[in-house]
Amino acid sequence: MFSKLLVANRGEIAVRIIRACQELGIRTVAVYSEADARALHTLLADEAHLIGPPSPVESYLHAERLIEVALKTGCEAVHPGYGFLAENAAFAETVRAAGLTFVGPPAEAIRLMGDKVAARARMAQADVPVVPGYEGEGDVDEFLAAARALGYPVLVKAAGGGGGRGMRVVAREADLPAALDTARREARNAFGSDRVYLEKYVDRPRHIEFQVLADHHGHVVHLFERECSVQRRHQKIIEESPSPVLDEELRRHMGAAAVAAARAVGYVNAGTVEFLVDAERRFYFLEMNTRLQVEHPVTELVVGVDLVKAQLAIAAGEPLPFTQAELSQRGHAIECRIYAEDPARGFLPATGRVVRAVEPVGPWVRVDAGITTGDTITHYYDPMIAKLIVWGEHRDDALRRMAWALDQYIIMGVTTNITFLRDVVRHPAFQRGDITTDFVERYFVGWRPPDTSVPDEVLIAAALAEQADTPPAVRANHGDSGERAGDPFSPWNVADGFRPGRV
Amino acid sequence: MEYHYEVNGTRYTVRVDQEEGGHYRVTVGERTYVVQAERREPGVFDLSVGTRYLRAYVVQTGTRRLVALDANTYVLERLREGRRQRHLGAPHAGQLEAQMPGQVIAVLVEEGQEVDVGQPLVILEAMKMELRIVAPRAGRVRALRCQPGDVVDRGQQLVELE
Repeated sequence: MFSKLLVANRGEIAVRIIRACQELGIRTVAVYSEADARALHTLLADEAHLIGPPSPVESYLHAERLIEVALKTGCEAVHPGYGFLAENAAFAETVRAAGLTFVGPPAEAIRLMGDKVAARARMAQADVPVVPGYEGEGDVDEFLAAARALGYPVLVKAAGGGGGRGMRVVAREADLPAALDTARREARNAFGSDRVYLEKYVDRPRHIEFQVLADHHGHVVHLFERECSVQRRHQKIIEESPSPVLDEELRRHMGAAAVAAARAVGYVNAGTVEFLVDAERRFYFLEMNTRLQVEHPVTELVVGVDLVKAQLAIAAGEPLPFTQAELSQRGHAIECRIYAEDPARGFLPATGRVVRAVEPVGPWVRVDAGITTGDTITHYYDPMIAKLIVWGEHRDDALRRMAWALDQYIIMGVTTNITFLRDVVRHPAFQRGDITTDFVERYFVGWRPPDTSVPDEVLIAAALAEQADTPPAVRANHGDSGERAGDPFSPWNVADGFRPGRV
Repeated sequence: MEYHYEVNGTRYTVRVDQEEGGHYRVTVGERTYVVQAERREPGVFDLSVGTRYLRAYVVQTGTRRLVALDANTYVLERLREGRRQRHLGAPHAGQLEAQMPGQVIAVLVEEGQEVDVGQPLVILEAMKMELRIVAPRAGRVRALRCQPGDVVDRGQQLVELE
């Protein structure tokens, strides 16, 4: 195993990786931009190095600087996390060329799966079903003709994209040219390539993905599925495992297809094969994410495997410690992504300082947070604050636990989607497991936070807090030595009166 | 002491009197409560109101008060001595604002240019998301208030239409 590793990321995933390393006795080096000074991941790592200004291009995407820090600090390996450089084949190559271990797949696998057009072709060769589409490089007229042949609606997707970015649903021919334009520009900005392709739009699909692990000794296994159909802006907000819709037979077929997909590209390390499942329960290869996923914890809780540690062991050359037959799903896990965003205003990102975060704590409740009390959310990075993950003996149990946990979660200072998530997990369709990728548009258009009148207790608390900060000259002379807890004027420190007897 | 708050357009007056024994008599409108309280740490208050034992989190910034109770966060505006605070009027109808904080990546029109309804004027980017600011109606661009590269706040004016 490695003795020192650089975490080329930020936020909750950097924290997650550092924690796994700490358990394994691996020393860690964090990197941070000027916007992330004293962020949680910098506090947890053994060392933290400033790598540049807030803009990702000058910091977390700056490959040379990251490798320079890794070499200077004596690291043996680099973990890319997800996002940023995680699916950048050139970065994986540069890391390896510098004599470091890249905790991830071979560059060739990243490159092939990163080119969505090439990936579709390779999957078709390996008998993994793909969605009908048009991969040509023609002009607008050829795209128009191809879209007509496929039938509207169609999807415009970036060949270099993924995770819903650079993707547009087009319902009418008239809208296609503008959509191609926007998709190209977004693709060029986000992925450095403006190549786009068309796919037949699968109506009301489910998004179900399979986790795979492959070692350097030819073993490939899958760790079952994650149902990720609850999305907004094509990005997932709730994931769970098992999927409420798969039966044993479909699960076996899709698992075998996921393993075949990984084998077809010589995959090594952790990866995820994403499928669409249509109303007739046919499944199609969507893309492969050649990295750890945001939603990996639901698999960890249901299968009982620490995926980050598995990644590290595989990268260190160790064989997988289990066979497919030894893996099984137990109970049910659900993850909610806690975002700084406003669900009542089209999920627009919110920024600001989290003046207080109080996370739920309880049996089978896990919070993977990158932002905590005092941290500032800027517009530079993804607005995810934390992932809330719960496990239950069965789906109903997990649902109840998630509803409870969301009811405990307090974030003050920025607008979040917590209130929205509370309504989603209690919605009858979600409770039934009747979830497709249009779930949010279908049931939550025009959603507003419940109109809660202000309880008197809230006004009482506010007024007593004012009282706490009122200088003694203004208040009636109430004796207070003023030497406790650094607040000389506070009546709250008086050691009389109320003691709730709670610990 | 009396405190005045406004929440969602409704005004509340809260009167606090400290009594013997360290508890408080608090009046909210017509209702009176006997409250005991302890500050656990700055911003964290344990209250007992009747038989209810509560933990409230309070943050004070300027005249704004954030109070979290039972995991709901309420935003209160502290008012001075019962006088209603002036509210800013609705933005002028011709002004177009940033709907989210972010960076201006493109300005697609020029001052003086005639635009159609729905025509994209400015492209904003934040957190990997692209947002087009489009003309809400046809008209002439009176003034541009941003340029590519600008970092803008939510609500900041970007374009003025005649």
